[in-house]
Amino acid sequence: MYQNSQKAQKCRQIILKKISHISTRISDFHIEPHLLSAEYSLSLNHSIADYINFTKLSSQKLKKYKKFFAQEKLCPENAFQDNVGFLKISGVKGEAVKIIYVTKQIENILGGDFSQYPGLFLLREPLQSSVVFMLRGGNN
Amino acid sequence: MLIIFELLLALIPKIYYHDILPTKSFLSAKENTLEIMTLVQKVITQILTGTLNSSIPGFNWILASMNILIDIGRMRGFFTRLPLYSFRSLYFQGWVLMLVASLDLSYFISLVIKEVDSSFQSIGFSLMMWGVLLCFGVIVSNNFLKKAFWRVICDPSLNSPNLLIHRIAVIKELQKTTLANFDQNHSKNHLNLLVWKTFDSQMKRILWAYDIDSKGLPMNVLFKNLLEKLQEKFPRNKDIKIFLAEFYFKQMKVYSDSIKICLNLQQSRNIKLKMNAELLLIRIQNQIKNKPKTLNNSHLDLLNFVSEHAFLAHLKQDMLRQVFKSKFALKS
Repeated sequence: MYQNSQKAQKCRQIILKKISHISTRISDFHIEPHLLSAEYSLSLNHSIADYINFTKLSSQKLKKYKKFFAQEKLCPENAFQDNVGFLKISGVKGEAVKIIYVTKQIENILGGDFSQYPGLFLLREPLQSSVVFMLRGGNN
Repeated sequence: MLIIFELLLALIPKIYYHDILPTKSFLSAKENTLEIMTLVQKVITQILTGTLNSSIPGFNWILASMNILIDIGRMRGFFTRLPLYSFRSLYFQGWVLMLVASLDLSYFISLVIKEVDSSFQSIGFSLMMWGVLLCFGVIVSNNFLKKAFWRVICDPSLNSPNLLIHRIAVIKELQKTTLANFDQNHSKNHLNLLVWKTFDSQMKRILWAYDIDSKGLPMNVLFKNLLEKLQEKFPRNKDIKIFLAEFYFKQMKVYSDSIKICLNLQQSRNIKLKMNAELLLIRIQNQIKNKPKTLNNSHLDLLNFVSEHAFLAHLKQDMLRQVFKSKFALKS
């Protein structure tokens, strides 16, 4: 019991350290870490003050970037939302280009079976190196 | 036998392999019905000239009457059904139809004159008559099309998907050309004012019918909503889907939704739709390849993007670990 409590306490310290570094390590328009921290403060860390602080912070940022989050075109400000995914394609000149990596969100955006994307031949015209495409899905 | 083989050889690509999406080229084939009618007309003419002896009395009359009948049928189909050409290509296609119809009509009239006066043999007169009929035909075609466009906007009983797609295209074109810079308060032109008021009231009625709130919405979003509602109304109509995909890609620049629809359409058994979806995917691909620097122009760094996601994933992992350890501690 003591050993597990010690480990849990160690995890808590690591998490709090990471949370304190959020503002320096995370982009200003990336709201999810703040929401996660708020949820953590309320349910695991039992700190109402922190919860209020993080919620306030995230609502302020939401207000600040509301215009960017609403727009359908992909931009840096809305790139961290749930409906944005990216896929990496690679090819050698003279050969067909295929998908080598996709994030889970691509399945929601493009449909089809997520597990079958890697290895799928995508483009007919060859590229000279690997390229990353970022896609943003609709509101639904 | 050879004629039928030729007909089949020409019909199969016309039925299965034509691109229905509007492009900038006037000559790109958008609608195959008119082309199929022209092909059938050609084959019937071939069969008639092959089977009947051209020296028999009334042979020319049969050919001329048949051509005129097919012309009437083709024009009726064109002006009432409005094939899915782009707005300006419809005018061009109307002129082409009139070119053929006026040629057939001038031939018919010269036959009538020849019947009255057997010594009449003036090719110059026939050509001149063709020219005059063509001018009249172009005016008539333009007027018919204008009338058809207003019917498309104003007729509430319209229930054909093709015409409803045209309705959106016509409203868009009117909005872009005639009404964009129109000032209703300071206009002295009563006709323009009447056009504007009719358009405005019809637009409100259409939006109300589709349950769309237009307040503060840009026109492109409004048209997108209209097309989406149309798709809900006709869920089995694949033409609307491909038009919606094209609209997402061309007007809204939302590639993902467009790709999603195209991938769905590629599963369809309809070869025509498969080919159209494939062509649209190629256009999207070219567009993406030509403009890949949308994000590079801004400040988002891919390395930062990935590392932030990784940071978040680690944070979630630590939180889960804490939960497990706390649970084990409580259990033991």
